[in-house]
Amino acid sequence: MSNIRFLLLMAVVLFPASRFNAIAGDTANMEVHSSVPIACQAEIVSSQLLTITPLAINAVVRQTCNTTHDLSVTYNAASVISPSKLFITLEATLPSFKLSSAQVFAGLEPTESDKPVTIRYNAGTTAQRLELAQGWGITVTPR
Amino acid sequence: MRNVKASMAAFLASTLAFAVNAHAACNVSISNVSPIPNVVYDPFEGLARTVNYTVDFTNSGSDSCSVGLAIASPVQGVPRSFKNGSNELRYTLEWPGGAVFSNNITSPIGSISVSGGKTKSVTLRVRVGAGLIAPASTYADILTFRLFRVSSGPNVAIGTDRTASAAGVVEPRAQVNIAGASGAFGAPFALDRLDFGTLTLGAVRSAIVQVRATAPVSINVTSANLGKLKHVTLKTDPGVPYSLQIDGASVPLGSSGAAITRSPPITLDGVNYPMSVQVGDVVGRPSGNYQDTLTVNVSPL
Repeated sequence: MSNIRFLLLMAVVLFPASRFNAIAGDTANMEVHSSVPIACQAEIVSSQLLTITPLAINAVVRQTCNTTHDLSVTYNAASVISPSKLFITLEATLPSFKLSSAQVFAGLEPTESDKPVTIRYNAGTTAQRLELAQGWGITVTPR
Repeated sequence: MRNVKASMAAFLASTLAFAVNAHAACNVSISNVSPIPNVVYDPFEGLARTVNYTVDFTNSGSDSCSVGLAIASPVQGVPRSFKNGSNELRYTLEWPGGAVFSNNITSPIGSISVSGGKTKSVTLRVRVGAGLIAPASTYADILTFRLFRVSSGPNVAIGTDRTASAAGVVEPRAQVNIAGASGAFGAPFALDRLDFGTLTLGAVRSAIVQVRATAPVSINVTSANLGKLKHVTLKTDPGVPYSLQIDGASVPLGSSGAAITRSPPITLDGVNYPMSVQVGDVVGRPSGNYQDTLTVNVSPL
């Protein structure tokens, strides 16, 4: 018992409470915030009509979009009487889904790039294919 | 033979009478002053700090008597202070109940009755009040204790003066606060968020790093994202680099962080160091929210 008391006494003498006081320094945190707004645009850089019968178009589209987005190749539904025979690719990839007046490449990653688009159609009249060749377009939709 | 016996009886009687008179007198002295613990003081706690010690009065006479005590520092008549060179830390000495000893060896306070043949202890207090600041160091003072017999007449010094040393320790301390504008430490408001709004190349935002310390300090800044505003959800995005300046010094936010040293004035208000954050290249960054966390640490040197 006396040994324990002695050890306790020595502990108090050698390590007074002041040595265990709060940390001498101090810390402050600050969060730095910012944001980048969504900005998306797409344009047809070039479009080359290879043949009208069957319709064959090679084009290049430029996408500048800083968020996940959908790219739609649009056309006049009246000029495509056989939608199942209209084949569109974006960078050799088939569309995610088809609408009556558009084929949609969905969930594209943010990008600033030029990509090849092909349009192939072997149906309808020459006038309809010509209208499709002259009237197709693109739209970009941020998600 | 009869004369010899009479002489011896008279001698014994006078000796006994002397002894009785001597013990009957008030004969109090300061028999002990316990070691006075150091007053460990943190100026930024905003609290008074006190330590207690005891003074023992021993009455070697047989009659009770009341005594008071005076305590003086080497330079009397001025507010009491611990000293270290030209720096000082004011303090007071208190009698039980809070009465303050004046710094004058002829001005006793208190009245304590000590019975004959008894020792009485009184617990005194050393107090360093709140709201003081001094450079980190150990400060000392020498105290002289003088006892006075308290009676209806003038106080009469009795016994022998005793001396004891006392000390105050101001610990190395440093505090930091990030504020939106200059002001006294902690004012006008703390700032925990710096918002750039829409990121634009070269945009600058400013804040104030308020520091107060009892010693020169090292200001260390670390960035959670190593100096980049990182996209909150796109973890693989490289982020937007930014630069940081504090008090005109560029503070790199690389892997090991960076430190600058400063010697703020030893005041409770501290000093305001301007801080600026400037955004770097933002071209091509995905939309969304970006953020980083800066940690500013100050340590006394």
